[in-house]
Amino acid sequence: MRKKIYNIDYALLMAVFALLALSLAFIYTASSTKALEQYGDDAFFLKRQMLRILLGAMILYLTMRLDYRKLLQFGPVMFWAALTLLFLLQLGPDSWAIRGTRRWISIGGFVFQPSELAKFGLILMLARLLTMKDADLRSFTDGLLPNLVLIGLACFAIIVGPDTGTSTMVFAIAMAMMFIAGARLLHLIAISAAGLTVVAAAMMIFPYQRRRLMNFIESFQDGSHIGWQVKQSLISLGNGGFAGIGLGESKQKLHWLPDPFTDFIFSIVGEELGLIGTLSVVALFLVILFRGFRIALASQEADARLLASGMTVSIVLYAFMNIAVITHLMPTTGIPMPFVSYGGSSLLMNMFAVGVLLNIHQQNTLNRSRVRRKVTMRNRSKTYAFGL
Amino acid sequence: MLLAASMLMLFAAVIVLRLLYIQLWERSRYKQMADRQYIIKLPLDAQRGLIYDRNMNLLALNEACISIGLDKSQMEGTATRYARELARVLPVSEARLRRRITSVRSHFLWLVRRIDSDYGIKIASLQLPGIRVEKDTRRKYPHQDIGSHILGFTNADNVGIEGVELSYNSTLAGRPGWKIIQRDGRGRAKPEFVIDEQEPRQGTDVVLTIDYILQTIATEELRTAARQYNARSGSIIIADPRTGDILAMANTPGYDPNAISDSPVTARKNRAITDVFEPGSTFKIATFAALLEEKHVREDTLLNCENGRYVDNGRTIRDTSPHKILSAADVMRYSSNIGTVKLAKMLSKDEMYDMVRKFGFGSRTRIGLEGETPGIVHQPRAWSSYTRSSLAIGQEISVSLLQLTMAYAAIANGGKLLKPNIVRGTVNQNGQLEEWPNAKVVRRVISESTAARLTSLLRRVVDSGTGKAARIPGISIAGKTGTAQKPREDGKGYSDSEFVASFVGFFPAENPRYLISIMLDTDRQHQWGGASAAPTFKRIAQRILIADRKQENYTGLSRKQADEAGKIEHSVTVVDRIVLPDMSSRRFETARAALLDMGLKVSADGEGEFILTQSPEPGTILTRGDEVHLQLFSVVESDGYIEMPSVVGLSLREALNRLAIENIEPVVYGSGRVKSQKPRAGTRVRAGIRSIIECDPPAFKVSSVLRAGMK
Repeated sequence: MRKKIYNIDYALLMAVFALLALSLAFIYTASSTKALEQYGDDAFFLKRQMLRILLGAMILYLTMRLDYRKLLQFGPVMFWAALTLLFLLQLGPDSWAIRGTRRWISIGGFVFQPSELAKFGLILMLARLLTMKDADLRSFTDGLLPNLVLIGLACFAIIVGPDTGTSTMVFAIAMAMMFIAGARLLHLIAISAAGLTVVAAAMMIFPYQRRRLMNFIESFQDGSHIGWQVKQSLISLGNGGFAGIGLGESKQKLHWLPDPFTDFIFSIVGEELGLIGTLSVVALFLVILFRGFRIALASQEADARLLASGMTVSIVLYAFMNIAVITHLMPTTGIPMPFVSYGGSSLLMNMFAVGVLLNIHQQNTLNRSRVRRKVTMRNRSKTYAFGL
Repeated sequence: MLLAASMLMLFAAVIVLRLLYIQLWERSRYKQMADRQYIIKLPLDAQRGLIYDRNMNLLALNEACISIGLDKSQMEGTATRYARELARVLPVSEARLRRRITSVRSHFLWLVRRIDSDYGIKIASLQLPGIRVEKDTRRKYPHQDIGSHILGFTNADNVGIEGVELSYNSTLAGRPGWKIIQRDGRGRAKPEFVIDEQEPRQGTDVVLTIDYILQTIATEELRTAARQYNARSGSIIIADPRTGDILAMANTPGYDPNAISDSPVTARKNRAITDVFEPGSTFKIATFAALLEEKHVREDTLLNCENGRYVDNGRTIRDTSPHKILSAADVMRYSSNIGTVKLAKMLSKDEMYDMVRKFGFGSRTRIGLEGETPGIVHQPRAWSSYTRSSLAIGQEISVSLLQLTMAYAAIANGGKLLKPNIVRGTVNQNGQLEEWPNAKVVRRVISESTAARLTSLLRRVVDSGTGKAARIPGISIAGKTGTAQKPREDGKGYSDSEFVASFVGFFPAENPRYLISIMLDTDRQHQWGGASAAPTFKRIAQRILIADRKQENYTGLSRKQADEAGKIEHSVTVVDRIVLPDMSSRRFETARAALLDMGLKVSADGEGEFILTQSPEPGTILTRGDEVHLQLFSVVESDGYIEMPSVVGLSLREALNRLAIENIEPVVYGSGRVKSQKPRAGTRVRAGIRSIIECDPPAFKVSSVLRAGMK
């Protein structure tokens, strides 16, 4: 029995490890020039990311060992804590702003993004709330509205960062979860339309975001206003061709492509490894998609199913959105590629998500070996949402 | 749930298709864009050739300056913003800058070329991405208006647009080179990333026939004459009649080629070759040449000069001073129009016309300067009944001063019309002068004996005739005065307020070395060539004799003779008082020898073969034994490399200034004092490279000051 607890979805884990290995290789190749220039150490960023991966591995292991049911109880705490942080960040003094925005909290040299915390807090909470016995998702006012209030609150807290990209992603993930939980498609479309309107309005308020959007729209009209970063990204991908120009050979990383090892690291993958590299990355995320949904489907419990699919959607949607931006299918939103882009918060939280998936996988195998339990709808008070 | 998964799958499919499209279908397009942005072609300018005088004194050199360029691919901000910021520090208007930035399509463009190096620091302070400050050179004419009409000048692109700079532009300019370098997204290009390079071919140095000292004398005396005789304009040419070399060519009004915009276009005309005038009596040599050559007229043939008033063919001809009976020689000596007209009747139209054309009138001399006039000589079939008589006394014909000069040179050198030279040669790769052929004979005009007879006629003019004012005792001078009314601008007859006074002469008459021709556009009061141009000739001749004494004896006179000739009535040579000449840009040895010869002491500072400045100023009156201090410089052919200066220990601001002077782009880390630099001091680097300057953080300022202090 104890042996079975260690039953691990190796395909999922291998896909994640493969992405992490790729990440380290490309963070090094894309950051070494800048690292050498700024810090005199070509492996400066590499070392930092390795440290985070170790930390992430620990988080993954711990979450894997922790029963997701217990974790679900922490959902509201996580969510409200993140929201508090986000609002405090807005109210804080000017010195709290990093690079002109209030998206990050810097504590002792470590930079943390509370919106990542809010995102997973929301996923945890929705997994619970949407599967409650008295949650009638077919009804707009009774079922959807209370949840929409929470979702709206989270999106609002993030969008004022300003961080329209993350906010949109959180919204999309929440919609996906509601859809999976059984909400009416018509309702969701209406809500999404309303959400898009809000995002559009937000973009009009923040001039920087507006310019990015306008540039994107104009770039399809005459092909001229294509932004520098996206143009350089396309050059990277195109110049990489089928087989790439060789590992470590990227020229675009020499100050041509901005953010070559964070949000746009996929462009460098495309330049150095070509189509083979880019399709491999897409394939690895598809593996995560399949394994994640497989785990969700295999689960007997509604909240576990929703939790697993929420986590999976979060990872895969981020990856695809990131590629969509890089390939000029979407306007630049500033979202990283899970596991691959340089950065702490995103990595740690995604490792956490994988840990959750692996835990549910273990629980599934555990359950299957026992007497099959009936799929239960939890009967808890709605006060759960407020952490009471 | 499956539906959600399918939607994500659909998303994945779209992405995969998009990747296939970019990385396979559009691959070549992006590859082209990539290749194009990784390299940049930079022009490598050729150093423009220097211009020397015949004794290798510098007349035109290259001065360090900067040019401001822009790499458009690195611009951060709009053209409007760049134009506005740049217009604050550059001497160019905002509108012009903006037009330049928006209209040029290539990656790299020049915003302003060849401005003072001081602008470099101001530009750097703007910190606009993509701005390049490149080291450059521009033309400098150390003697300002002396010789400016011959030298001409260049435009902002260093292309000659007047004078020798224009005529010999291709020789002087060389051929620019280029280099293709790899660069990164910030435009950094390191010398080792040069992909391909074509070295520029440096311009060739040109040595003129001009003698800087004679040019100075001509310029100064012309200025004096213009003031003294109220001349609106005028020209002087000094030539060597044996070779056709032009030793000096001066015009007034003049201009400073270092500041073109300060002078009107009319001041920039080289009137000695572009303008024509009716020569008047100086032209009588053509008539006499034809008579002596064709008609065997003897010098003692007597003519009735009608007491100064003679009606010829219904037209009255007058002499300034009336004479009764004159020999042919005296007709020339006293410049009798009546005598000349009567003599000319012995010549046919064609004989007259042929001689005029043989002397070179009506054709360009092909001196090799742009804008030369052929003058105006009418064909015999277009002549009126007066024309032969008019022509005999230098009317109904227009000539340039250069044509007149070469015609007299033909008499002086024994009858050969020479092509005038302005270039003595070029300097080859080894620094040696390669002389161009001179004394190119266009044709023989008259026989040697006719030339000798004409010379003796002209000697009498100066000895005891109308040219007496040009006489210098001890020196045999042959010359002729001229006075002409200027034709009215509306073409109806002659002006009664505008006259042209002229004098052309050469010496020593037995073996002519110098020929001086003078033309002054003056008024009624100073119209007589004998009263204005002849004294000017004398002053110039005297100064030449003094200058000559110090060099080789061109005149073939003994030193004592030359001294004697120079001294008399000459204002400059007072025994113990010396007017200090301008020595700038002359070779140190020649200048030193000249000064020592004047009895002055010489001290010098700096290294090099040329004189940069002198103290006291030129024109100062010194007494024997005074010291003249010279600052020297050398002309270094720049090969585009510079030595990396040491900036370690300097404050950041000082370091940036120092690097800006050498045109090295700094990449600065930290602030405060400079801790280290890359490349090391003394390394040979290409101008315009980037260097890495590391500074201490401000917190450690104190310790670094101490360390710097200990050094």
